[in-house]
Amino acid sequence: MKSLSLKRLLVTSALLLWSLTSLASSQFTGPSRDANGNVVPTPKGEQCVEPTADMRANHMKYLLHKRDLTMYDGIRTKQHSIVACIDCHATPNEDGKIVRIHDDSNQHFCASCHAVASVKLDCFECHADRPVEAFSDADYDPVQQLDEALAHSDKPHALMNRKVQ
Amino acid sequence: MSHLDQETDMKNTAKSSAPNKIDQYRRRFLGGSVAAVAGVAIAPGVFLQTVNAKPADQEVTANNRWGLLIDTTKCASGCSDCVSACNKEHGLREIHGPETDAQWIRKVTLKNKSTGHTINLPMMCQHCEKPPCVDVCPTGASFRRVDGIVLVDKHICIGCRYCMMACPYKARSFIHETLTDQLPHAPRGKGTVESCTLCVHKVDRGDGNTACAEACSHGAILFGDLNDRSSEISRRLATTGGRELRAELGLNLGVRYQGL
Repeated sequence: MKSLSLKRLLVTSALLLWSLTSLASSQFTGPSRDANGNVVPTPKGEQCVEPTADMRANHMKYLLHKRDLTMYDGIRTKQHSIVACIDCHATPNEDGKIVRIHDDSNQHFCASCHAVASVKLDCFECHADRPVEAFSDADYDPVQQLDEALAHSDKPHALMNRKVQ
Repeated sequence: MSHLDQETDMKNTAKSSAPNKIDQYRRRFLGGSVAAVAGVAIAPGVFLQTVNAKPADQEVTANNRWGLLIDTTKCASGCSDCVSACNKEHGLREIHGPETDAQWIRKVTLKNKSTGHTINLPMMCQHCEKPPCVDVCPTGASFRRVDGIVLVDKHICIGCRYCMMACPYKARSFIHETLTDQLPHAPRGKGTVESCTLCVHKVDRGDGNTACAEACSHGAILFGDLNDRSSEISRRLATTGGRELRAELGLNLGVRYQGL
């Protein structure tokens, strides 16, 4: 328990330090940038669902709580839902492109902080890392996807072995 | 506010998960008893009309039991619209072919060799009232929602695949490959087991239908509330009947078949 709280204290202070430095640097540049100079996407809304400091420290607890409410009880309000977080925070970068969590630039809202804090997050192994509107019709259409995959590949794709009913 | 204060504050405002679950079970038990008493108290034979669309901030209740009625006499040979619709709805894509790819719904053809009579039917998770997958799950990841939908909590699924062995209907699939571009309403990932969710996101949204039922142009799939006596599914079950597959197992299935 002791080592756990010590670890938490360290992480919190690291986050605090980081947020202070990022705050300081953002005063001198246009778009907000983190300690490494990476652009942090500006969220769509004006105010987060909780105060920023609270979210920095506790967002994972809110998400964990909401995930159980959604899965077991079917409560699908936007408050603290990972889909709603992404809808607001995963905004396009300076070039107008929707950034993805695994992009090397670490411009994804979650990645921009987690990379600096060196905390691995695996939410997006399963969950969508971009907002609902960033999905095209092709994302919902397996056949179209297959065609696109084949069009952009010069070697035989694994999907070519599919059996058509 | 110090970091420790925040910790305590969180416990007060947002319930932590372990005691929270127990509280929920207690509440459900109490809620269930109260509802039962209230049901009797109103009047015999008078039922409150259940509304399909529940407000997003309200819990699902055992007042509903969602299910499907499949008319095999209408299910067409060679048609797989329900399978395509399910794949599209949940972002299921072909990766290494049917042997290892996830199948939430599949078309089955049965042929009586002596008479040559052929039956076509879609097979999916049967959403048992007493699901064997839930019985065997070592982590509690396999669970049945109070409204009868059997799901996998992929956050605590360890991918042991006991549920796949236990399921009499071969309804579950294991994800072998790293997936990308999952849809926002259908999170799926490597190393977990998954199956038909009865379009739980659509049910919670109040669509009152599943993707497969919507896609079936032959009208072979009907979605509805088995607990609502006035729903079409209940009325059709009452008038024309419906069979459970492997009824001898006594699992009380949410999916019923006609014409078998």
